[in-house]
Parts: sequence; C-alpha cells; structure tokens
Amino acid sequence: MTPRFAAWVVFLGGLLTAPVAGRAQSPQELRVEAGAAELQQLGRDIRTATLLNVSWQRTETRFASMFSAGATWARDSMAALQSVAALVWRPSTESRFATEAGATGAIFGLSNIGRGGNASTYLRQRVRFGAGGVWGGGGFGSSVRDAAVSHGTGVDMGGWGRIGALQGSMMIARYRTDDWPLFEAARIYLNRDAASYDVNDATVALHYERGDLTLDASQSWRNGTRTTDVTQSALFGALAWKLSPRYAVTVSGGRQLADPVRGAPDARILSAALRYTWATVRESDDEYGASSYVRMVPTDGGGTVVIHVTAPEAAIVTVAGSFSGWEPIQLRRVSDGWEAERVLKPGRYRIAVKVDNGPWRSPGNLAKMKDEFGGQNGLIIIP
Amino acid sequence: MNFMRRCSTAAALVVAVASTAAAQQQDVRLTLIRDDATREVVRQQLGGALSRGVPMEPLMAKALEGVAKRASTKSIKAAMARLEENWHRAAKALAPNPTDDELSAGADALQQKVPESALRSLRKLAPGRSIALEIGVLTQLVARNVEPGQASKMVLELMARKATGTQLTALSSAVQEDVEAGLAPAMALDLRGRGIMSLLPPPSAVSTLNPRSTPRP
Repeated sequence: MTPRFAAWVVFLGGLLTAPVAGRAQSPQELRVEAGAAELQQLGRDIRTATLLNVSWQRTETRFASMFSAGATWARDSMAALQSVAALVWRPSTESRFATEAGATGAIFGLSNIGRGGNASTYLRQRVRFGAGGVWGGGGFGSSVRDAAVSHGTGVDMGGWGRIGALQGSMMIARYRTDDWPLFEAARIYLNRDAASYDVNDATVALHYERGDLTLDASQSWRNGTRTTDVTQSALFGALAWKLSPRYAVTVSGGRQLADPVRGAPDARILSAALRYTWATVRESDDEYGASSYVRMVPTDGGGTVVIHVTAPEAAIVTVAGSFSGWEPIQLRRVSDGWEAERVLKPGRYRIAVKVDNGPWRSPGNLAKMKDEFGGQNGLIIIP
Repeated sequence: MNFMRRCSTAAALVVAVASTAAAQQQDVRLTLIRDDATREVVRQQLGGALSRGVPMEPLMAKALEGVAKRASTKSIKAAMARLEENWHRAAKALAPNPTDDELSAGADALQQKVPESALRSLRKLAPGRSIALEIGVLTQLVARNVEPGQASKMVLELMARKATGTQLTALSSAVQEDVEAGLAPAMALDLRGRGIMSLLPPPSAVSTLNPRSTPRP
C-alpha cells in the first residue's frame, strides 16, 4: 500500500495565528517560493518533499485582497494543495476599523488519518489604536476524510502592536470540533464521548524586519477543557534574507499544532526555499494606503517646510533629502499620521519619504523625479 | 617686488588651506559610506570629476543619496557618471558663466528630459542673473507631465514679464493642484499661466519701466 502523506504548507501559519496588521508592502505583489521541506506528522516517519507556494496581494486605499496557494510533493506520496483567499475592507483610510473575511480550501492525504479535503471561512474585525490594535473573530470549517464529514469552529481574539522594527501579537482562541480522529492523531486525549470536543489556545507571535533580514517567530500553547486532556506547546520560526530586491532565501522550521477548523494535522516542518517577489510601485501618493504631502510656509529669507505622512499603521516613517545631506530623519507621530518640520533657505531641494521598509517615494503633492536608484524624489523650490 | 612675492605666497597659502579643508571635508563625508568598495568607487569618481572641473558637492550628494537608499555600488557609480555628464551638458547650454546653482538645476532639468535648447533660451533671456529658480520651475512643470516645449514657452513668457520667484513657484503648485483635480497638464498650465500674466504688466511696459530687462548682448 502506498504510504499516504500529509502536506502542510507553511504560509498558512501567518493567517492562522498572527494577523499582525494585514498591511501590504506594495500596491500589488506577487511572490513565488520554491524549495524543499522535511515534514513529519506526529508519530510518523520524516518525509522529504518539494514545495511551491504562490501568493498575490493587492492593496487599494480601502481594500486589500490576497490569495495564496501552495503545493507539496513527496516521492512516495500524493500531492497536497492548500489555498487561502481573503479580503480586508476599511470604511476610509483614516478609519480605525477594518473587516477581514476569508476562505480557505485544501486537499490533503494524511498518513495517519486518511486523505480528503477541507473548506473553511473566517471573519475578523480589527480596531486600530495608533501603532497597535485589537481584533476579534471566528471561523467555521468542514472536512471530508475517507468519506467521513466533520466540522470545526473557532473563535479568537487578540491584539497587536509595534515598537520600532519589532511587531508583535497575542491571541487567545477556543476551537470546537467533532473531528475526533484529528484530535487523537494529535495526541489530544478525549475525556468522554461527546458530540464535539474543545481546546483552548494561546499564541504569541513576533515579526522583526531590519535591512535585508526578516524574522518571524510564534509560540503556541494548547490546553484541554472538560472534554479533552492535553497540554501542548509549539514553537515555529522563519527567517528571510533578501539577496536582491527580488530574490530572498527563506528558512523556516518548527511545530504547528493541529488545526480543528482547517483539518490540518499536528506536524513538524523544516523547509528552505528561494523566494521571488514581483511588486508594482504606485506612481501616486497613495503608498501602503498612506498619503503624504509637503506644506510650505514662507518666512523671511526662506520657508518652513512641513512634511506630513498619513500612515497610521506604520512603525517608522523617515524623510531624507538634499536638505539633510541625505541623512534619514525620523518623523514624529501626530494625531493622524507623522510629521517633520524644517526651516529651509531659498533654493532647490530634493526630498523623499519612506514608510517602514518600503521604497523611497516623493511626497504626493510635489513634482516627482526618478532618482536613478529605483525610487522617486520630490522637488521643492523655496523662492 | 617683495610686496608682490608676499601677496603670491599668501594667495598660495590661502589656496592650500582651502584645498586641504575641502579635502578634509570630502574625507569626513566619505566616512559616512560604510561599505569599503562603495567608498573607494565614490572617491575615484569624485577625484576624476574634480580634475574635469565638476564641483564635489552635487556628486557627493548623489553618492550619499544612493547610500541612504541602499543602492548598489554599480548604481551609485552610474548615477554619479550620469550626473557629471548632465553637468557638462548643462554647462554648455548655460554658457558662458553659469553658477554652480544653475548647473545643478540644469543637470536636474536634463535628467527630467528638458531639452538643452530650453536651457539656452532661458539663458539668452537673462544672461546677467541666476536663473536657477526658473530652471527649477521648468523642471517641476515637466515632471508634472507638461510638454517641455509648452512649459519652457510659459516660463520664458513669465520671465519676460518679470514674474517673481514666488509667482513662478505658485504657478507650479497650482498646476499640480489642477492636475490632481483632473485637468490635463497642458490646460492647467495654460489657465494658471494666464492668471499670473493678467497680474503682470505687458512685456513692452516692462521694457519701458525697466530698461535693464532687455537681455544683454
């Protein structure tokens, strides 16, 4: 009998556990990731697999949409596919509120509990407060495995925040499912016969970006309830090192707990891949759903220049220009964004702003000039 | 004779001190470039450019801009070379005695695809004063998608009618606002340009009131 094998796609972890901010790095971005992974379901042999992930996201002023699909193949197993589609909507760019809705689909062959598929939906409401916020939501999923149908539900709530380049989130969740084979395969012991079984989860996730390096880590804890007996913890980490603006090497590894909503099993993963990113650069001022402008107030012998960037979810906003010898200056947070003020003598100045680790762009209301480094400068003239 | 010798010695000393100070300044700013390979390339580019009569400041600024934007050494070198090339083209177009400010503005304008003929026309109209601001406004208008021919014609017309620097920069900002509101750049420039001109005396009156407005031969 051909061994059946579970594929477990790493990128799902981000949507499952840490909706840190749901922001896009570019107005439109396509990522293709290809590599190899070692996967191990609880109590089973380690399998080596080839993996391919494709994700696409588009950010408009009030909408963000994303789609991810992943596939893995192992020498002695069937292929497995997983996909996620999500839409984020906010009433206006200044609004504190954002609603995220998504659907996932999966086809899998589980070596310990059978092959099948899953479909699920989820809904989250976020409320932002400065560089952080809170969310609450829930999801529902149905799995079919070896002709048996099961259902799972989950409710979660949490908060996120940023300090400089470090972002973090904390989440608590409660899951309920009648998929007892999934729980048993994950060594979640059932206390008694029941129509459905519950577990409680808590997750802390961290995201750090500096220069070419991006680090992600999450730690989850799972505890049983009256119907289950379990105490588990799982650590997962991922590292991406940018080789060029388009290529990056990614390494990730750790354990992911069984997901009762998406029907995914408890598994250990170690993967390495090469990632290719294609992203568009928006020509307008609306970058990352942010807008920027420069206001000039004439003074005797020059002018006061106020640089304003509306980017409520940004962690750092910087400005650099010929006025500062191209030394980046951090903007200070104000009620509806970020601001810096400089008194300039009469003359011509080139200026660019950067939101987090995005590209250098001209403030929206300035004449935009290409900077010969793949970005833009705005041109200011003080008469 | 002794007096002449002392003067020469003093002048030589001043030049030596100034050169040393410039070199020290260059060294200080070069230390801001942490990558050894980039720093060496920038040093070589600066040395070459200085020997060809291009001032250090704009090239150093371009290099520091590249460093701030995490550009590759190759990109920084190419950008400095292009700037130097545009600097030489601007020097020809703005001859005979352009200031560094004018040349810097001219190099920016050429990078933005403003034709050299437009720079020559501006210089012809105002040979005796700095036209850095006017070149800057022309560059802004072209960057705002106004066709270079139309933009230079408008700037020349406003210069001929003695528009102030404040009026010229206000024109550029107003065009931007109109374009953002959905107006075509050409129409926005036409409307805003006429608006400013309606506040200015006609060219003949300007010439009568201010004889120095006539371009010098």
